[in-house]
Amino acid sequence: MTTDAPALFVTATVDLPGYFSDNAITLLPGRTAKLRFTARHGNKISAKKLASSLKLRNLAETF
Amino acid sequence: MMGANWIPADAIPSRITPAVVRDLLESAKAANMNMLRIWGGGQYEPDYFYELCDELGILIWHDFMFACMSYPSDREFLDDVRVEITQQLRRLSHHACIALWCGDNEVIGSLGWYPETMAAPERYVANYDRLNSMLGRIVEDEDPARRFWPSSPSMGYLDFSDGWHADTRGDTHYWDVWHSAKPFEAYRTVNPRFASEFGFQSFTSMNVIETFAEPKDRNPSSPVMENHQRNEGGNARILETMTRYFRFPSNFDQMVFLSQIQQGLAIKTAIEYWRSTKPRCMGTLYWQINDIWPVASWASLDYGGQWKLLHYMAKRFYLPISVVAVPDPETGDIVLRGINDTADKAGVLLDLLAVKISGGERVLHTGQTSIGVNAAKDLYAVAKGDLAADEFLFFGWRDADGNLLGENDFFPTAYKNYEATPTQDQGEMVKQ
Repeated sequence: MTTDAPALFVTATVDLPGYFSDNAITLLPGRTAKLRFTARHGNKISAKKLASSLKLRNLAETF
Repeated sequence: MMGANWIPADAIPSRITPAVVRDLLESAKAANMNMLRIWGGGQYEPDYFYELCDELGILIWHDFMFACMSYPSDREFLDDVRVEITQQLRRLSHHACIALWCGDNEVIGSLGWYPETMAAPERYVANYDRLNSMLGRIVEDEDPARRFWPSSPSMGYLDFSDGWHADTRGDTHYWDVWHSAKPFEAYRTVNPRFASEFGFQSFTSMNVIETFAEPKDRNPSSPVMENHQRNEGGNARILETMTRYFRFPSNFDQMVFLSQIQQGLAIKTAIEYWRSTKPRCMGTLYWQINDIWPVASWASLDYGGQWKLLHYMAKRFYLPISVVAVPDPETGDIVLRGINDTADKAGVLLDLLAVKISGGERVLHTGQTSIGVNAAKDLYAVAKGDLAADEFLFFGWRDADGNLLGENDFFPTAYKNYEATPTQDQGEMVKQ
């Protein structure tokens, strides 16, 4: 993930059972945050399926 | 110790299966937790629970199943209890995961909650001690290697005083931020030796709310949302707190998101500070890790095991080698403190930036230091006035080989006072 302005509590969500390696992060311009997804219950979830339900949000949307 | 309180995995016992419990305990482990407290208002868990904790390296603070009320102390009742406790100790004491046996949850404090016990406190203290001291003797006989701790909270043996506010000894349940609506900063006004309960609520995640609330009911004061909130006034507490720290959200979905951010901030404020007072405080167990049904609650995992934002923040504020920012109320300085929960000295290279909310950053400090075994120490102080009104602190720390160990930030004032810039966040999914 990248951003063009400081972004607070940047959160990636998918409607699939699993979690990202990090979330609700502070992301600064010029930096890249790489999140790894871990499927729960030992499942395998394809990147395509993840991409189809991926949403990104951050604090600015509530301003 | 770093962890949380555990309640039964489901309101419907037949839904508690090894797969469900493994999933929850693996999420505890993934968030850097090394201890869970089995709350005395719950249940003695099945054998596989303790086997999983042995396997995953999660220690258990085990309450006996007495909570929040006085129990009889007649001979027949005590005989019953003796059989039950002896059986549980013989079933469980061989597990490596058991750290200590604790008499009960909040029974001493509950003497001040009911008219009967308030009318005759001396009688009910004596009544309490008949059962409680018997529990201690059974542990001494059946599992002599393990410590018996009288209660949670307890100020110590034969000490029946208030464990909700005293912070000089024993374990503390600190609830003033949630139940008395004190600001998050109030967590920094108490210095527990071991914080075994403290919590702050959020709404359960949107995709879970969608399983019980029709679109028309997705409103914090609808009967459906109020029914899925078991603490009277809880939804109002969440919203009132939001107005202190954030700008009021413009829709329900944002409100749910913000409620989880502020829950994470509350607990982050407490745990970062208390960990930084090591060795005064040697343990923090927040209330609570899991939910028994889909509900607004203090949990960091949704019913079903999905991670709320608190759980992600827990993974960071429970990093074994961490750096936190603590404001000094007397000088106005912001002190950066390093925390090392490992058994080895930790070399840390700290990079500290001041970042403008609209963009642009400047280096405030770069420095190498080492933090002793199982210790915390001050690393750097940002003097009052060093930070402009539109700046916040952002810092990262690396090990001696340059590997990034963690990143953290600190906002000296409430988020609502900053002008957050609308951003273009870009994300791409890569298969690995």
